[in-house]
Amino acid sequence: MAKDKDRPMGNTVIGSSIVIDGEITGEEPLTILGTVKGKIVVAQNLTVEPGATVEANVEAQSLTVSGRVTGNVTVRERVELRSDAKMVGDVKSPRVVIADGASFKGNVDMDV
Amino acid sequence: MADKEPCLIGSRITIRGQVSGNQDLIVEGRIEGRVSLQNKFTVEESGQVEADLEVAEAALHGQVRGEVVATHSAHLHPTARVVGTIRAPRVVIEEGARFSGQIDMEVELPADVRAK
Amino acid sequence: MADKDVRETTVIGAETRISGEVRGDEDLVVRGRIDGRVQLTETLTVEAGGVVQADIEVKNLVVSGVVVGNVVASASVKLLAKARVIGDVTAPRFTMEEGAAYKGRVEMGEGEAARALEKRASRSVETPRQAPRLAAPARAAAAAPRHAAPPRVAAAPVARPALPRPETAAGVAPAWAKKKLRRR
Repeated sequence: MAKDKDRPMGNTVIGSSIVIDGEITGEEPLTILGTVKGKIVVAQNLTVEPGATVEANVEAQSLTVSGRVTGNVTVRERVELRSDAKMVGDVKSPRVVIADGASFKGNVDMDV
Repeated sequence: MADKEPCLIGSRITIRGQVSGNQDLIVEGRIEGRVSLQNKFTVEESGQVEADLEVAEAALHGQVRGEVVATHSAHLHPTARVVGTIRAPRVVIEEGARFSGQIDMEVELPADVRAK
Repeated sequence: MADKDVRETTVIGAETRISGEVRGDEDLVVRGRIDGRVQLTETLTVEAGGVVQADIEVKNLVVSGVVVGNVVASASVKLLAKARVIGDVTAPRFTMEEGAAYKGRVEMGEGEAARALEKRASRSVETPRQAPRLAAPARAAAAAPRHAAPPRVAAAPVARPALPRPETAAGVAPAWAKKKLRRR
């Protein structure tokens, strides 16, 4: 779990007990430790921390996953699935990194 | 309005009917009916007012039941017990004050927020 | 990591907007915007610049920004100097600072919030926008026969428990509001 000082300041943080049903849109980095169901559109980095659950289609600048993501993902720069990531869905991104230990089911489209 | 001594309704006085004037008024006793003043109206902790008020400034420390219309401000101090409606451009409710009813102020919302 | 379990704060940044329902068991600070519904067992803080257009159920609400919607708080509602609030408020404690602007109906009382929450719970999935106004208790209080309550000297406000206790939820109106003004 990220410590407070690791989190970018002045951004949006969805804490571990928070459940959001709906749509999140934003122009700033978003860190999710809780649960988000619906849709996420952010112009910056989206971080899905360990323990977090995202059941949503995602559009972001970049995406870092250590938690669980179910949904289709469209990213402009880079997707990183870290070792404890669990991801089900299609990924569209110019760069994709999948760490050893991450689980992933879906298609990858790097626009080759 | 500060050049005159305020009028005091003592704690053993009860007034029923209409009270009007242009002098500050302090109530330690009881008023039933209606109060219209161009000045400050103070209800002390011992005061009991069952009346509609039209005043410049309402400073409430005691019990009030009725409609409070203040052209300047309404202030509910910690001992206030108020039931009714408050209409004023400035309203202050302090910790400890009890209020039940409607508050009616001008609320300016951002352009993209609409009152339901 | 150790202090992480003590209390987290969720922050909705100034450039972020949520449409939908937000629930949780931790403090929530809004600098951006939420449209929909908020249900929290802790404190919701709407900072200056923040907008919450939602029906709100919380323990505490602190507003410096904009809130449009009905609020039920089990402990307190504080409108600070820059607050702009439209909607009905039910809470055992309600304070307004100089400069706050508010329009709506206020119910303060020990059991009010608990009863309002029970009512909401029983209505369950109704759309939040159609939540009925919580005005009934005050009208009932106003209509209560004058001889109903024994004459009593107003009790000084004392520290009350943070959460309304169910046994105080007996009457239709807060006891203090039913109390007859003392006659001489």
